[in-house]
Amino acid sequence: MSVVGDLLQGFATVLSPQNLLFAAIGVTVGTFVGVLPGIGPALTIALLLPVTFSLDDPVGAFIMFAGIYYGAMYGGSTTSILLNTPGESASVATSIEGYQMALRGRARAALATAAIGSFVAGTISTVLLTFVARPVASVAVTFRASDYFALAILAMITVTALVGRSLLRGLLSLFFGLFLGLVGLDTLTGQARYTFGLPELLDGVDIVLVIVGLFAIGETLHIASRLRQLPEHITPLEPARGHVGWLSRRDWARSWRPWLRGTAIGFPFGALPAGGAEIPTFLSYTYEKRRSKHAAEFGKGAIEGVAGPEAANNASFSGVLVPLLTLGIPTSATAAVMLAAFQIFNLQPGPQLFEKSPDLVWALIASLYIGNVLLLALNLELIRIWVKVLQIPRPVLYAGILVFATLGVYAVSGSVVEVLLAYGIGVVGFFMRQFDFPIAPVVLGVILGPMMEVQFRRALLLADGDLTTFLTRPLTAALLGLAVVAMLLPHLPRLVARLRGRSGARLAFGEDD
Amino acid sequence: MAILERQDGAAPRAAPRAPFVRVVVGCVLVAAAVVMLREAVVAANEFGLDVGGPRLAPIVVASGWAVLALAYLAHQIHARHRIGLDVNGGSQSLDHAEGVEEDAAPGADWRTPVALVAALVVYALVLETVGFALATAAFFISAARILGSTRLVRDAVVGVPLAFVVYLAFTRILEIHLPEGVLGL
Repeated sequence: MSVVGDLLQGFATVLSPQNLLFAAIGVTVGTFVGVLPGIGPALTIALLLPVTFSLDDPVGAFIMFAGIYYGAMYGGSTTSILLNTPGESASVATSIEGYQMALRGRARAALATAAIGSFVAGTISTVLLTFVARPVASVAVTFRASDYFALAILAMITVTALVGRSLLRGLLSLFFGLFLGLVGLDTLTGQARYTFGLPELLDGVDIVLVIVGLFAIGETLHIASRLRQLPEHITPLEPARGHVGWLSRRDWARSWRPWLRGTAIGFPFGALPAGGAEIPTFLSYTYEKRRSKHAAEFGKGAIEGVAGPEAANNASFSGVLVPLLTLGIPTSATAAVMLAAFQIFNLQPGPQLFEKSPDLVWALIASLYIGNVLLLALNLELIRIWVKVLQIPRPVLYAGILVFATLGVYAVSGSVVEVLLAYGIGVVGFFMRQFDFPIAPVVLGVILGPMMEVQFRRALLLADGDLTTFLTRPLTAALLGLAVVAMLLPHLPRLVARLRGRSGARLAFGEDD
Repeated sequence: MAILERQDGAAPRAAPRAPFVRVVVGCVLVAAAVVMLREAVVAANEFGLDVGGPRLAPIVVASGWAVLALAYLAHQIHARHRIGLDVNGGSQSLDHAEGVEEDAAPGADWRTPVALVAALVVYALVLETVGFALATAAFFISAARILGSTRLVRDAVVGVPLAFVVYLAFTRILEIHLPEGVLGL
């Protein structure tokens, strides 16, 4: 069947009343948690996993998860603009100009250009996803175990090297994740590893525990340590004026190009295993700042500085789905949780997914179109409700997060020991935040580590134990080479400076604090 | 490349501070490396180290961790020498004013997180004997207090119904088991 036919089939699935309801729940919950400072889509999906156990049909669950992912990005921009507390690194760029606009009484225009820009970018990138996904999947069919091993390395290295400020701390985070991934019985031989004699550890450390520990417990403890330093002031919304979508003609004229450019930057960055949305949002911000005819306005609320990054943010999400669906390689924490969700339903994302579960894939893609429309309405018309959500008192909010975190782990495991283990991981997450270690590499290490090991051993088996198989197969070698480049790239300017012998250029293995 | 550097610049950089704590962190990381390596080597000796077998990965991960942990520790000790000890003042106000995620500023409140962890552990330990609904209601109210709430009535009005609604929704509608405890709901 043609792509269009498949997609129409997907729309038919999504437009059933039940699945529409799941889409609506997903985008609403997603916006809600996106608006709440401190919790994001990865945690929300992890907490909802036990709820989906009772669903027979995975399609509804994935429609909901995609809605949460998208919704959280729309909601996150609201918090960045009104409260200047970006909930995740991908919203930092938006908050720079967005908050300045809000301070100058242009909060509605900032929210509108973010929402409409997200819609435009989300829709265009979903179209791209629609047409790119299957060709990539058909190429991916030819991938062998050694290629997957190299891809997993590439994904881990790019995310680690490009996110955060220090390669050393990023790698330590990654290795912590790899270590957690090793705990339990070896999948091929059944030998126990790193269980330290505890029977509870034989099943390994569930990804839900890791996510809940790091994102819910760790974040709440971090907030608790700096309660007095948090911004409490929410910038009020000015009364709505009669323009189309709250944007004046001038705002539209200044927004549409950044939207398109943001999309063009965001989608490829998401689709490459290159670390989700953080880099494209900053690339877009920098580009708009340089290109703008209103450069003087930057820093004082330039609308381009909101339009571009928000578009890039949303476009990168559809991009992230390309490696996730076609290769089974997650490139962000949220994608890693979605991969775990696939596995719970006994689905293995990868080239075969398009052959084995076409209904699911195309319903998921179709739901992205629907979700974007729903989110545009939710975020433009109901913005007052989301502003109210921002006013939930913090003690109540964080006490609630801790309750749901505990509930989520207990519902998955039925064991108090696992709950305590999640708390323990949370304490580690707290210290990681205190000392500026990035969180996302841990999650990717836990998910990608075991996958990488299995592919490594499978490749060795196929090559009769010949290690050179990783260097003689061109694709594998090329991917491994890219991983090395990705690791060095952010540090190249300093390396060059060092080689030229400039004074003052201190090279310290990526440590720059 | 300039753009990637710009990315750093957007979040105001942490000024160097409290390097001694970071040296301690480095020591903890190295200690963890020793534990990981020991466990991996013992197992490799016992079962034999085969390149395609299950004992290679722990060795690789533990060795990698050890190298990184030592690099971190060395860097922190080096930084401590370089900066000297006059770093505890000055940078503080800047960090707080920016409100951007930065790491442990001196004067970060340690009591609240410790109290919160204690409350969490008690919550988990009594969960099965007392039951989900009661334990949750009690935990919610105490956690809100620890987090600075002074409005007991409001917290109870939110927390008690929340605990019972969640309990009933999970056990009756989703059919997921939660401990019923002393109430016998």
